[in-house]
Amino acid sequence: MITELLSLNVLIGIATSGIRLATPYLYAAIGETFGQRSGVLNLGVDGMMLLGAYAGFYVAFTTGNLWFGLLAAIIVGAVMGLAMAFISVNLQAEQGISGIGIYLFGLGMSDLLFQKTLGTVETVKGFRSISVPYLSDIPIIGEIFFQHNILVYGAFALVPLAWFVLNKTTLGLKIRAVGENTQAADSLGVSVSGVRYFTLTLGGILSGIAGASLSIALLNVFQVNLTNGLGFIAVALVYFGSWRPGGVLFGSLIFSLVNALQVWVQVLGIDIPSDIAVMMPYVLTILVLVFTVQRTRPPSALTKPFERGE
Amino acid sequence: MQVELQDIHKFFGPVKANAGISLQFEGSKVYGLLGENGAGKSTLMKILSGYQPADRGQIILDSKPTYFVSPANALTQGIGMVYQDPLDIPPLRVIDNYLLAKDKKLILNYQAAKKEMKDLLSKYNFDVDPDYLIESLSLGQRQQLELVRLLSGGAELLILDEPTTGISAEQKEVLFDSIRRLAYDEGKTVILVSHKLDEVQELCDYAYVLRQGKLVGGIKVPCPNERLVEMMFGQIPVREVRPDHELGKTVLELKNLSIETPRLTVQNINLEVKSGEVFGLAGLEGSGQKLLLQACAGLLRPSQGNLLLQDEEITNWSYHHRQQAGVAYLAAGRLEEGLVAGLSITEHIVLAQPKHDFLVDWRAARDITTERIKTYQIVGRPDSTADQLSGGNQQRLLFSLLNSPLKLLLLEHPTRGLDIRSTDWIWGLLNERRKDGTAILFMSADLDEVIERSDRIAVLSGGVMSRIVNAKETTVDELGHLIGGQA
Repeated sequence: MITELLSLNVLIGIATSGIRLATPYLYAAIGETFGQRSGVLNLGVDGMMLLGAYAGFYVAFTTGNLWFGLLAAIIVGAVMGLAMAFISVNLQAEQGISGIGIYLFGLGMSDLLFQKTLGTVETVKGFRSISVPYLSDIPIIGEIFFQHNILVYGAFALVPLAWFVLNKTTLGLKIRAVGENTQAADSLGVSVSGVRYFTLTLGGILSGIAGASLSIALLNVFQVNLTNGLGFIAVALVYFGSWRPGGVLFGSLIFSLVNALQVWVQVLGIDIPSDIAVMMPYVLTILVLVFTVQRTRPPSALTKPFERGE
Repeated sequence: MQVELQDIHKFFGPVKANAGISLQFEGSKVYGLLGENGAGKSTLMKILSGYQPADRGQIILDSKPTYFVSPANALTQGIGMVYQDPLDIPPLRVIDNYLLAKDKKLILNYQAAKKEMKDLLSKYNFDVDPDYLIESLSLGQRQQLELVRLLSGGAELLILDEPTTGISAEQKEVLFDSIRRLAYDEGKTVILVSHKLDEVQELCDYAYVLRQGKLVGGIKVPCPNERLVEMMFGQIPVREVRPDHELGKTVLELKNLSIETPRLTVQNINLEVKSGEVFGLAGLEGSGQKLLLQACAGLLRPSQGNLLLQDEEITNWSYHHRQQAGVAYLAAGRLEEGLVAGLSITEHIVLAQPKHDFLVDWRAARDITTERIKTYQIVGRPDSTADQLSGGNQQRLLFSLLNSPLKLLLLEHPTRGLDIRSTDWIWGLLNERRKDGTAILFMSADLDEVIERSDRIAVLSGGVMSRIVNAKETTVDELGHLIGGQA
């Protein structure tokens, strides 16, 4: 049975689904990276994703237009991001706790809306795969990398873009400064609140897209707790990736590849108890985290609210 | 630029930090702002630099009343301040910090900024590499970076808060040269906040003296030191003569001790500290003094050699084991390494008790605390938290936590940032300990202090220890040579 796993077709299948499955992790974790680099830990990602997933699905389902669905997810995510910003910047709430609040709100609210508006599990036709001309014709490589839907490509394009913004632009420099020393950044004339509002709203938008990528691009359904804790994994991936977009990409790929492997193990009916198979990605993530990740310091001002003066 | 402060008031709760201070500053002059700890110097300068608003009073720039909403806003109006702990962002590169809030364009222009920065740096003979991380710079270099940043931001009036604390003699020379140049060649105003009289005498044209939140007066400098001291304290404090003292048996012995860290290797240290002896360690910041103290305290493991406490081998003893054996270590970072910011004086004293019961006897603890507050003259209540105390009082609290008797006391910059009176008081305490036979090993950046307070002195330079000199027979010059690595 194990030998079936090693056949070329299965390996290609695992790699292809690994790439696909990395999508929601990437959106959510890159968004979270921006927030954390500016010193705000947002634990509400999963809740924001659920609301984004619901909004995206519902609008796409009722209007029949996937782009409207995506837009709805973006708007809902932005509103949730703004809420998180208001709570952590203006009210200076304890970030760990307010994030959990946001998560529970998102979980409950998406459930409620789902029960009231849809009631049963429906499906939509999600974003279709686009084969990249020429590149998708390359044997093996083409199949693995270049036959995905638009949201998958978007997620991978986000990684270099995020790196560029963080390291090469004025805005990125401000974000990093705020995340390390709010007092100093303020004295240099950087608006600490402005930067944090921006990163959290961006994080919210990306969480919304992450949710929508599940409901209208990958799974094409909505049900209660669709994300199944995926948003929390995304938060962990930010630590895993040492607050760097490249590191987040690496972590997301490992996680989604093992997840894909696990799915294929079950599909092929290999005789491993399914609970253990499902556990695999998590166990592996912990192991990789312990053994390979270089120790980097988190941003110094992470979780610290800012107030001017003494 | 003409700058005037009119009737500045600032209160922190019931404490009057500034009570109606009026001052004037003119261009092309260097001003000293003097006062003992808590006199209100820093508060006043933070108001002038936009870091905090005054409760009452006005700032007038070139006869126009103005108001600063933030330090950045003050800089746009020509006022910049270099803080004692530079307000920069350690994990960033020098060039990033320089560009921050300066480059308004979307994409950072490193090339142009680097050139601009290098020009400025070389103009003032500053030695900072724009590509280095700020956390790898010395305090003096971080200061230079701040100065350059403020100058490029258009500062006409520069405030330097205790700029010579913790920087090397060479950096101090460069700093003083650049201050003179800024004032006399470029017409800027420089305010030097300091409690070091010699520096004010050497560098400034005029000195203002504050005492207890009020302006005592201004005086042309140089002038006799006694005049300044009298203004600062209201009277001239009598400096205690260091009592002579019989030395006892060897308490601490280091044999061929080596310590290796990624940054510095301290090699082959051999030294003995006797009961009742004060042994001073001099040298530039980061030459190995701190590592040596930490190794003695049990916080660092030596890579080679032996440590003996009263002839007993303690090389492998843990920090706590050594503590119980009568070794105490006071770190320089009072709030970072010595005290717990959010805990009260009483809670500190309970924690420091040698024995603990399951339940805390708060009533007894309160009594001990009240008594310690009295003996150690701490300005604070038993329930004041450590971060509410001023630097001098934090140091007093640290000393009040030491148990008696001690065999060995290890001190890192015991009087850094303290005024003359607190310094004398601390050394009074240490001399008491000495009488009880405690061996004291301390490091300090203040050479006068090292010579004046020690029995014997060793100088570390790049991890190598010089010959041991007798404090009575040495001079600042001789130590200066040793610090530079010359024998």
